[in-house]
Amino acid sequence: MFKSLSGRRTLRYVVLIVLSLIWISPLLAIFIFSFAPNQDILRMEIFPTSFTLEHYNTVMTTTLRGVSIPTSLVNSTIIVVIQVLGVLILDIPAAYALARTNFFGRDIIFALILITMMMPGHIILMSLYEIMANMSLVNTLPGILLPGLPRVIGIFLLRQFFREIPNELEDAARLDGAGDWQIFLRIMVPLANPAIATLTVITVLYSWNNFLWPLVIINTPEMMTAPIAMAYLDSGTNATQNYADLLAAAFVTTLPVIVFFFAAQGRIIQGISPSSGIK
Amino acid sequence: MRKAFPYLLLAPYLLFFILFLGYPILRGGYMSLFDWGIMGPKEFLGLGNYIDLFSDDRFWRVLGNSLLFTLLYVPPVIIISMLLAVLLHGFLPGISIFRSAFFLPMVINVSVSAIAIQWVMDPQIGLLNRFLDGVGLPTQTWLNQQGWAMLVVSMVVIWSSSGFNIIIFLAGLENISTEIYEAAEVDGSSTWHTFLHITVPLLRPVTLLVAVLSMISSLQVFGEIFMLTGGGPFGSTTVLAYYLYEQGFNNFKFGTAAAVGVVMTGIIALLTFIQFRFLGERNA
Repeated sequence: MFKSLSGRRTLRYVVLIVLSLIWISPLLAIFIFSFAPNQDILRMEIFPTSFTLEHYNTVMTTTLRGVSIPTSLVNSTIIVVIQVLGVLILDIPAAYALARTNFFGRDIIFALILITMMMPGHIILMSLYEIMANMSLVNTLPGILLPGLPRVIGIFLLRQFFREIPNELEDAARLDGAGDWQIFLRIMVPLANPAIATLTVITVLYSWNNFLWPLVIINTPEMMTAPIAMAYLDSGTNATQNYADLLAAAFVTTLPVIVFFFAAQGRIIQGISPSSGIK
Repeated sequence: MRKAFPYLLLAPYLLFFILFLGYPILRGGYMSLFDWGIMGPKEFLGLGNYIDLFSDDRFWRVLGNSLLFTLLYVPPVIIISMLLAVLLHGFLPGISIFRSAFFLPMVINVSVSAIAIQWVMDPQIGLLNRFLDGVGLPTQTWLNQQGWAMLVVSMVVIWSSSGFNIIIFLAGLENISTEIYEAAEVDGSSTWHTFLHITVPLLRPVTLLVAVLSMISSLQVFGEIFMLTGGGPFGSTTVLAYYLYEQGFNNFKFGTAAAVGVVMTGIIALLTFIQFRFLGERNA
């Protein structure tokens, strides 16, 4: 069965085009029909018959069942920013201490952190909810974001990176009279920039897409993050209602993450590839 | 002063770790030993919650549903991700555009992908039934029918997680030397033959990693179930994580839910242990 090289290449393109269209078809469909009149959806048109911005206008300027999509985007953004900053501020020094200093209890502490990585988030769902209730943090922004701060994955990623920095750098700095803090802040943290960037990217995605915990801890529309707002709107929408509004809301809440994906694709891949040691 | 340095670095992290991870884990185990309602503990039961769970037919059905989901999800996601990775590996003009198309679903929130799937499969306005009707095939109420519901959920999870697994397979493919392929080409090996007898065996460690990671995540599936089926129809898609949520936040049986969490942790810890023990921390 001889196939010419260019024939093979054409075949590969055809397969790739067909499959990738199937892969993005749900997103494409949401995008296209978010500009269509609702009757097109009810009449099951395969392509929209006309173009309208009405749904985007509705979504951006009114509340749907008490949910304001712009508010949910603001909530999500605040949570992402604070969680990313918090994770970096907590994880970078801790990972450095575990990687490059000696102190009593270091290995036990690291083992304990490692053990929690084997545990699904579900084990703490009930107890964490109760702790938050006791602290009166149910349905508040701190209640949503605090449990996301001790990210174990960052400890792993950064510890590995800090361990691989050669000792000679540190020794040379010490000879020049640099102290512990200077070495950490002026030499090690800048060197760890690639790992810090990867951690930032995976934390943004984790934070934006977190579903189970916000679902449990939020109970009013104005506190909802974007994904929870979508789940709430979806649960109350059926075929006879204005389905196109739902699609426009879905696209508006997804656009930030799509833009972020294209901007940070390389880092996302690095964060997942086994060679960089993260799962 | 020097002695304090590591502790100062570690202290803030440890504080949050203990407060929001360490202590809640221990307290979760503690809660599972009680008849614990929304107002706090009522009665110490010892292993009572666990005994109740394992003597309840419904919980065995939940375990069965989780196992069914794992079977419907893990083998297909391995095969699909591996084939797509092979298709996306190596240079081809425009290949990065195709890669993006396959990676994109993994950053899309489950609430949004569920809306698309519900719409396509809607009994009244769904395009899928319209299409099936058009070609003379029987229409279905996909998500309201036992048998179909779990299959649809697994397809959605495969779709959203394939990008993650393709990336792992691509990293594995990068490690296979091109000389092996050149030699195979010289020997006149067909594409299919090369794939089966060279690529698949050399990807074995990566495949094992994907298998274990997929099993671990399949036992935790929640969002797709919550959005698409709500555990139904007739409890046929009530998997472990959804059962926990239902017991805790619909029935307010915190103790029972905590016990389900401990059982899940046991199963997942075992799988993770296998991953570390046999595949190594750094794996592949």
